[in-house]
Amino acid sequence: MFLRNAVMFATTLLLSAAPVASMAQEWTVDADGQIYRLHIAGAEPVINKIDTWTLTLTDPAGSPVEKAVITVDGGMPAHGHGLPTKPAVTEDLGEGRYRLEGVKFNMDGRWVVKFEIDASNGTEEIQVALDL
Amino acid sequence: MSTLRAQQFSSADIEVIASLSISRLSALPPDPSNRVADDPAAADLGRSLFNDVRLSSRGDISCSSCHQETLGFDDHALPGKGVGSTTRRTMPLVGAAYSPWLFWDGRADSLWAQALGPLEADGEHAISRVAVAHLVDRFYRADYVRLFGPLPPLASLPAGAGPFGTPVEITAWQALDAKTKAEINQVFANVGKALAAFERTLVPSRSRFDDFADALVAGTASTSLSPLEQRGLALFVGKGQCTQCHSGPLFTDHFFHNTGVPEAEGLPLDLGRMPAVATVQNSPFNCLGPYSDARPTDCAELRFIADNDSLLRAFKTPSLRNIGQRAPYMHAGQFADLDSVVEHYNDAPWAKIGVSELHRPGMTTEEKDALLAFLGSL
Repeated sequence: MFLRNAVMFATTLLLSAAPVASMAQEWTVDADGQIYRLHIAGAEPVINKIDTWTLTLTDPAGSPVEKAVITVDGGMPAHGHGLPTKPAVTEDLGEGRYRLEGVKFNMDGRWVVKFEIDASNGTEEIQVALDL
Repeated sequence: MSTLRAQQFSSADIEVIASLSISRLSALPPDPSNRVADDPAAADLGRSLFNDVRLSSRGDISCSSCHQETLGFDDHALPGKGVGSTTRRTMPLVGAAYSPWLFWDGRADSLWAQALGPLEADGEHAISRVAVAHLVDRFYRADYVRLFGPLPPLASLPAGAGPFGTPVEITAWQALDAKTKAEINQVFANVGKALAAFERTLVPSRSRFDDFADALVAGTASTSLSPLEQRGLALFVGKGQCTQCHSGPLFTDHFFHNTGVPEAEGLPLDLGRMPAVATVQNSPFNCLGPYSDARPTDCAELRFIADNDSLLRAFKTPSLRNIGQRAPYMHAGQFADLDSVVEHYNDAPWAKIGVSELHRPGMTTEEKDALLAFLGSL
């Protein structure tokens, strides 16, 4: 399977910044697979804060992919451990948008979040690497 | 030993060091599952309960028997000892209110739920929840009623009954109707909530490290740490890779890791976090349970609890504050001193059960000495 990583580099300043409201600015990541394109929107990840992301799933032409089953896994490959939570899609918001709750990162370093997407066009895993 | 030159820190190092300072400690996170969490009257009641030896089967063990205030709420026992023996080390209480998971394996998701565990554990207080309710009625009725409302009728209940404990207590508990059980559980939970309100007042104080870190960030010279300790600090945030887990002002990521620590001799096999996941999910005293004051949306940690394979024999990252005074070390006191701890992390042996996350940092003897010196400044 062809996997493409979207890599975001956040500076270590994230670690030291106080968790104030201004941190909750819009933060997005785009990751393209072969049969799906994933757009992630939420607050910029801050260590030890549980976040909710909005996922938008489209096909390569940009049409929304509805009624997808999306499961999320991941961890820190360099450490051999998984995510500190088990994020889950809790609501299908329609028009290819899905609410993902329970996203949390608890240490600095490289994290990989894997999205297993199962919808009418087929099954594909898209990985997103995040550097906190 | 040659004289150490003044330690130079890169701007990236300084950012990490700043993130460890107690000056960056956030306000205590609220506990929506405990409506009296920040009520001073609840903390007063909690302090009394914390020190009350009547809350044990033999009348000689209180929370403070193992969490001794004069010893930094520790007992230095191997393992902790109550009415009988436990299988793990007494955990630090200072700063515990910042953690989403309590106990070495995180089998409680609030301070108040944690406080209930030792009360009924046969090696610790070994007292049943009905016996606790009777004690509250007899010695703390007025304070309890002011905080939580009237006690349920207790006169017809046996002296002791609970789902754990002696066969007599278990049988007596099973004979109670569901309504009575729920009423007793509520009293028991409220005792935990008062204890939690007291424990929330235990927050860490400044250390020499904090003074040094703040001066470093301000760009002013500081002699709060010796040159050797400064060298150790550089290793702590650098080559030693310590901040990967011991991060933030409490020097913990509040999570669970397998670091390949050896089994404790003479103690049963301990699989750590993995089996504890189901325990906390099934606990009636969890955030989503009937005795919690939280809304389900407040319970994200529990709703989205991780249950993957890397949690096998993973234990909670302990805070390193006051670590020099917390021997013996690791979840079962396997290491008598910090030298052995640093040696373990430098050796990074394979885990016998599960997979260790450690990577060998390859520190020299001089570097290990510097790291040890630094740990003493926390």
